[in-house]
Amino acid sequence: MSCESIQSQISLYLYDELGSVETEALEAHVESCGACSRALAEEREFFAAMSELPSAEPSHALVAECRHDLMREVYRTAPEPSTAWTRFTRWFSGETENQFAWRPALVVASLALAFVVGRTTSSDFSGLFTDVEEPSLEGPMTSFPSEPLLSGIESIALDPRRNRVEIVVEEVSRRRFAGHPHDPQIHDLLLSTARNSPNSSARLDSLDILTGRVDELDVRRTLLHSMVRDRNPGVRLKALEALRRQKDDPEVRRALIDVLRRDPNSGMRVYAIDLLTEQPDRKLVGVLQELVETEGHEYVRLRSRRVLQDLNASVDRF
Amino acid sequence: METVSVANQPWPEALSEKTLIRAAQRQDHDAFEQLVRRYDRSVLRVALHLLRSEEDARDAYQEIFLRTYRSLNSFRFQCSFHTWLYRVATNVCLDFLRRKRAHRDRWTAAGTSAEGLGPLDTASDDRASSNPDSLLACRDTAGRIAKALELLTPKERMVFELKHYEGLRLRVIGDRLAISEEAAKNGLFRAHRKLRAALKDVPR
Ligand SMILES: [Zn+2]
Repeated sequence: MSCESIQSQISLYLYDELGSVETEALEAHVESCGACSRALAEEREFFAAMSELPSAEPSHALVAECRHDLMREVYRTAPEPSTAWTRFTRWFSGETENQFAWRPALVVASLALAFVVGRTTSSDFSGLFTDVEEPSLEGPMTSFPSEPLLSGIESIALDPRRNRVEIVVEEVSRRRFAGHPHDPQIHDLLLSTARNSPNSSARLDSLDILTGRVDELDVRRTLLHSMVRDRNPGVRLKALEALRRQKDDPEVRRALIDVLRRDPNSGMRVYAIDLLTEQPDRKLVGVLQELVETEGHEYVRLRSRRVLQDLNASVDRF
Repeated sequence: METVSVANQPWPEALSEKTLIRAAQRQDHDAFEQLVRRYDRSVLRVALHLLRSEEDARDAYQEIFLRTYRSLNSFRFQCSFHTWLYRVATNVCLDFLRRKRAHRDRWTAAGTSAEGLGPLDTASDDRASSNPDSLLACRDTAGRIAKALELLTPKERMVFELKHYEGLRLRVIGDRLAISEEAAKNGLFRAHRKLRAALKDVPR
């Protein structure tokens, strides 16, 4: 083989991309040819020089922070994880696309239930159900003509042999309410829906309307309740985001600590620790020490450790 | 009524990837996070090495995995998941390199000093980094190499990165970049020629 063709193969040789025949031929030639041997040495030098560019092994902290940002975004864009159980509850509360013949009844039923609960836990709306044609944004709350509807589901029984389901339902009437969000009755309905509706989209929508009024005591209480107790991580996240600006309030901080220690969703815990440690105080030391030992999420653990170090506190519990 | 979440019961390490992917396709975020954890360190390492900026690497990481997440349902198990993921990663990094290059060209064409370079580097040449002075201007070897690498086209850069620093076979590189093995080989040759020329006169 010519020197030229040998030298054109040197880099492939060093990259181990030559076949065995070509490799043998190259090695044999280089042994007996000074020019090609020098070319090989130079190429080796070039390889070594290029390797002086330091490798960019990402730090643990960087990896953890990237994961955290990513998962936060994932949870934000699609709030509810799907497990067999959540799929079932979602289906039950009418949030899935599956078309069962009797599912629509359940959907309206759960929506209606929210209002029934709202009615029993707040004031009596019976006096308000006057017939008003046009709902006006500024005007008082209006209700619309009622229609019969299924409300509570008393029981569901399945007879597998005959493949039949028996459902006992309660029938009430459906009512629509419309009015300004600040209208006291609408306000109460929103609060009660946020706390009690079995439908997580309804809870989410209520919180959405309420978040602007986080300064009002009853709104804040409801948000705190949802952040700590709601079973849907998307709803909890929405509440947490609404309370973000009040992160220095002692009551909010206590609730955030609750989230940090107990929320099963790692995205929530990550968010909570970020908010709590923006201005860390010594009250956090005990919690952070606990997290360093028990927390399963890498970012939360690393962040706890780092803040403890910043606070000059011992990383271990005493 | 409490929601039972798999977050409380970590996936066993040995759980098959297929199971994880299927779960992630059903919007199970914990399963998705497990998938991310298997590969993200190596994805981030390549991005960091390639883009030479932590900020860019972070952005690339987000884009790579969000794109993966959003198109997960189109994954049909026709190739391995990591092949699929790295194809996405390669595309995203290539886009970043192109944007970076376009940005740099715009600045140098406007006669403004490109990032990190002194006025000397941009004095006459509209392609600042092709000026050997810019290579000499960098005191350390790593800096000179980094500058030399900027001479490569994004695709040459990518081939060189995957070959020289990641040690992949040319066949795999071709697959990731959606080019033939031969084209990958030619890209590697061009990269070598440019780099050797750029670094030849630089005292080491
Ligand atoms: Zn020879």
